[in-house]
Amino acid sequence: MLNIALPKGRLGEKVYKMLEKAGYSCDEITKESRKLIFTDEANGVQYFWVKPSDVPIYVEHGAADLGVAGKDVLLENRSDVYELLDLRIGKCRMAVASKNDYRDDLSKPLVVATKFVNIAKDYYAGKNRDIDIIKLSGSIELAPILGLSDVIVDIVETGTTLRENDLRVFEEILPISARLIANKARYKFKNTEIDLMTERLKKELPDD
Amino acid sequence: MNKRNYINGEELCFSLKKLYESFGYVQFKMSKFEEYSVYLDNKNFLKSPYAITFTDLNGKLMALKPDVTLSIVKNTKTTADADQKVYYRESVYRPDKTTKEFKEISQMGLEFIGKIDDYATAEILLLAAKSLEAIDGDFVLDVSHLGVLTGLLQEYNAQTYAAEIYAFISSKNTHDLIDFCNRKNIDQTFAKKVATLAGAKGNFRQVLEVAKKVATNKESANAVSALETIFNALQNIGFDDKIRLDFSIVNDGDYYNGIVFQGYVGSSAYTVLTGGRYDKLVGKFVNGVSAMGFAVYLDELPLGEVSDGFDGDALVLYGADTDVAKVLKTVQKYAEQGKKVCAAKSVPQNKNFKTSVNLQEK
Repeated sequence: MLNIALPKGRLGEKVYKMLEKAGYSCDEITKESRKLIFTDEANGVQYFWVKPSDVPIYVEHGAADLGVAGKDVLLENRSDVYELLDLRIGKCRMAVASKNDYRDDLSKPLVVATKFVNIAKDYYAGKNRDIDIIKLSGSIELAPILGLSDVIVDIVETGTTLRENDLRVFEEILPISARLIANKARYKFKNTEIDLMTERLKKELPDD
Repeated sequence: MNKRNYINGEELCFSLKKLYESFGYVQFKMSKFEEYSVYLDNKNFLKSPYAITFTDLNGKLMALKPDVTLSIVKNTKTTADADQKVYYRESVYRPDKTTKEFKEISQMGLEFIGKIDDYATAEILLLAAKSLEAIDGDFVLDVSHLGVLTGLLQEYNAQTYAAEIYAFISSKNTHDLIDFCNRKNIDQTFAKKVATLAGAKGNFRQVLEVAKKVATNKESANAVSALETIFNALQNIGFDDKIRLDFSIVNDGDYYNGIVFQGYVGSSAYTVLTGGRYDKLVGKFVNGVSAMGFAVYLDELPLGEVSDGFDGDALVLYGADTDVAKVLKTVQKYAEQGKKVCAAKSVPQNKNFKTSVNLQEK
């Protein structure tokens, strides 16, 4: 039996559809109910929905054998897990954005507003640029508009929100997509089942 | 769900102690504090660069140990012609990843400092496997050799990116590895070879065959042949399906060189044992000596009281007028039978006992 943590929301539903096609359906999960854990004995799977940023935590501590999480969440949490497959869905990019007329002033530390403190720190450390971080949990785009920060480090999907607010992407940090992750210890004992699931999921991957 | 089976920590430590002693290891006890500068000078060899410091009465800056191996290497009187075989059970102090506060971590492990030959390597791996077996019969010991990878990094001139590449390998992340090598203009053959190694599946022998095909440079080939020697030595000792070859085990490349290994047990979701060869560290203190060892992370184990649903075997109830000698005799009777007994004036709340004896005067 494989325990799988799925991220709540649109991405999680897409992931479940992929799993369903790969032969890991679970009737219980599609029914309206107040259950927290959904089991399908025949397919040997047990699913549960958790907050997307919590998926790596459930996996790292072994409460789930497997999980699906965005690369952004994995990098930010610095999770010690196996990353077995790029599922090629939930694609977007981590980027530095600011107001259209923004110019970097090297005489002072750069003020960065972000939800992703570690990603921002690592990125600017790699460029030897001093920064001050302001951690926000939502509506990051407001920060440069209100003068709270010079730039933001955030996820950009289509760029529409940026455009409509006179903001634009200045630098791309890295592409993001959903990844299949596994607990390192559990993988040792369930490798046959996990490898089989990975192989089957590979056949369901969308084209690049 | 993944069920929790508790392990009795004291019993485990006792059986590990007996195991290590039976192979000729003597206990190393650290009763003094090291100067902070010892850790500072060897920062690269520490898992965490942080230590709790304090000023001693003579004004020296001291530290609560963040690591045991360093002290063992520094304090054992190893010379090139006398091997030191020690084991320890100590606490180390390191910050917690989540709370960012220091915590006490309990470790048990052993170190072999001196001339590490094939026999010594096999013995240490056998003891690592036996340690895991003592924790939980359901275990896996993953072994690797860092030389395979360093050979490849050199062959394809990719040493600059060693840290990134190690990170991809240790998470079996072959998709990002290939992508990374593309972006950094590293030869695709390198990416493919490393991906093949990190993703190799099967038993020790099967993975070894895969590695032989990939390891064409001298250093990598030497490492593979060292692994084969180990495999041949450890064959038929009863752990064939439990000792595996896994190239995603890279541990810490700054610290280790040569053979590295990690242990897992079915009852824990974490790495419970890590170890390997660390000649670089020991080389800073003594010349011409090598070292190998491992640590068992007791805190990563589900340690706890193994409960049968009862708080004790027998409850002896006595009253204010009961003869004390009679109570004592009854209690002693149970204790001598190896039973857990509790004497009380009234039934303790929320506690269950298998039997009870009432000595209260009617």
